[in-house]
Amino acid sequence: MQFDIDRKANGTSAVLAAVLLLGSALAAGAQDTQLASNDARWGPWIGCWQSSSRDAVSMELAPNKSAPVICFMPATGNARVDFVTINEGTAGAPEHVDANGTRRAVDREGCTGWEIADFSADAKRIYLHSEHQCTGNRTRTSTGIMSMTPDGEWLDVQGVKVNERTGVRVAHYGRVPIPPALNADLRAKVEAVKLATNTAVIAASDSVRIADVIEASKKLDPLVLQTWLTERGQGFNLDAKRLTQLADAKVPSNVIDVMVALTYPQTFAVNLAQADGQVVRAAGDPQVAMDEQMHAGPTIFMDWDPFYSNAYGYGYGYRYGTYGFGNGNAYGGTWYGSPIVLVKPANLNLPQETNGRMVRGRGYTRGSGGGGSGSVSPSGRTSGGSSSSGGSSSSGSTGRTAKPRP
Amino acid sequence: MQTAAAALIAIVALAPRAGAQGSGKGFLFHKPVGSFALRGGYAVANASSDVFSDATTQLTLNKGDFSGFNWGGDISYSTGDRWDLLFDGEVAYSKKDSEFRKFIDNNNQPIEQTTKFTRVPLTIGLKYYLTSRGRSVSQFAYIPSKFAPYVSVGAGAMYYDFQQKGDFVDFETLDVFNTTLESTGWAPMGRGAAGVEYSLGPWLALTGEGRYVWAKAKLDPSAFDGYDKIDLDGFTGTVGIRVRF
Repeated sequence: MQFDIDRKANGTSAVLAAVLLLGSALAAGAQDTQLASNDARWGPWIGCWQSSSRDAVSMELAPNKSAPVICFMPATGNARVDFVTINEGTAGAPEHVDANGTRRAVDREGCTGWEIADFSADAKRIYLHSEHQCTGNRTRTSTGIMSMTPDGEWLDVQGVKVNERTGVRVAHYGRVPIPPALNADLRAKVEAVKLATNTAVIAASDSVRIADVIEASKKLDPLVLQTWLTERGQGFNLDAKRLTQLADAKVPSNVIDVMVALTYPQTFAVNLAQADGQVVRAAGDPQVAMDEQMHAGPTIFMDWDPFYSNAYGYGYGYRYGTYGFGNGNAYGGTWYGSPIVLVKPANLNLPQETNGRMVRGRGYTRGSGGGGSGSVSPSGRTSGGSSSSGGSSSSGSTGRTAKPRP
Repeated sequence: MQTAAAALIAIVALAPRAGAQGSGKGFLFHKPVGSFALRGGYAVANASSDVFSDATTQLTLNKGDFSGFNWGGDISYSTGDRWDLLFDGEVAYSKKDSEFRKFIDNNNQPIEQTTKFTRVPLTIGLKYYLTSRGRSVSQFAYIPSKFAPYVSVGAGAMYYDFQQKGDFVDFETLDVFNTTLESTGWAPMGRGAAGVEYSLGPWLALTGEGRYVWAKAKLDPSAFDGYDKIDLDGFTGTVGIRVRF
């Protein structure tokens, strides 16, 4: 089956088409999958997922709408998995996803290029990489990482670079029960490996090691890696020897800075700041309208996200333009710019009351957590501290989250 | 001496606490801006000028008696990866009791006196590390090298005080008289040094250094008449603690 779907004409198909840049080898006939030959590396992802509550808020779902659910099932073949997307109780056709590390040519919607996905050496993460030439002589490169958090969430961090502009989107997906819409055969495939899946999740949500960071630094844009580390929030047993190991492996210094900051939370705070010059969405304005207002460049739909759907009327996948990135509201992720490492004053070791603020047309957001003064970014610029909208973790968190009213 | 030792102990004790907010395991959260050091050691005086010769000839002194313990310190500011601008000061002090070799008094008692020799070199200089003294692996991670050999040169002024106090024999009348002969003053000086730093931790390093100072000063003719310039040269060997900041 050709990976070429007119999502404006067919919203349901669009959902199915959008898979993680892994979209290679999409093929019909997934129902014939043999459990015995499934690739165990996909084990942690087997099951059904839905955008987490914090991301669901940013999706701005209508009150009577729920976020789509995607279900992964074991598939035949190396590095393969099947998935089905369920929108509003309707399951789409099963598709294949392949993370075999081979480059796949892509030609769709005004862009040509290639995509590749492969597992990490320890099979706990999936790296994504693509490069496209799009109309308007724009080069779009992207890298991403899929991983399991210690909480068992599927953490998806993907970055897109268009010319010299970079943005990173973070999305969290939580495991949900198998929807009734999934047919019995597919349900059986998921349930047949339930125990193995649970085991795989525990294994995949293991701590990130120094070697993992070194490996990831070869695969990911530094901004993506910084963001991923920040989202995980895990400290490292850093010492001079390990720092030297990182530097010798040419891990970018701003990545090392984030590792240092996460390791010494009493001294540093990390704040995911939205990109400079980010277009702020006006209330109620669809993204495309904003694009047209801001610049004449094209809006290009990229299909990484399984929850992409214009069936909800607001669906736009990865998109870019002359003025930077907008929010990928279709799937609830949050866009960030460069993570800023804030140096905490010594007397701010205790939990601080955050400085919230209200943003016109957007609502309330958490402030910088009191670490604003004297902050320094990895690039050396001074910052007053930026907020991380969309509920990403930062100092001062109460640990509570919100979700849409049923 | 006790004060210097106490200061060293205080530095060693307090430096890790002071650095707790600014360092990790074996690394600093920032590249040091500079450092300060306290050193102690022994200063060997060259003592080759004629005033020393006369003193050692007439009194029960030898050249080594003008040598003594030395303590000092420096504060340095990093001007480059391997260069420091250095402000350095130290005190070398010796005190020795003696008597006339060839004379005793009329009661068959020795004719005694005390000789004190103090040198206080104050210099500004440059220090160059022969190997990398550390590595910045990121904005917030600086790893000091375990060993960092260096050389330095400096110039400045040396204060000296050469004092002999007690009973002396008048060579003309052989009268024994009590007096204090003292000459103090400042002299331009130069110095060269070589040393090595051994990191004990991210903030702290053990330092060992050898240095040679060159200085000559006029003696006060009212006390030391007709002498050549006093030789203030000498070699100093020290060990100490360096604290990065």
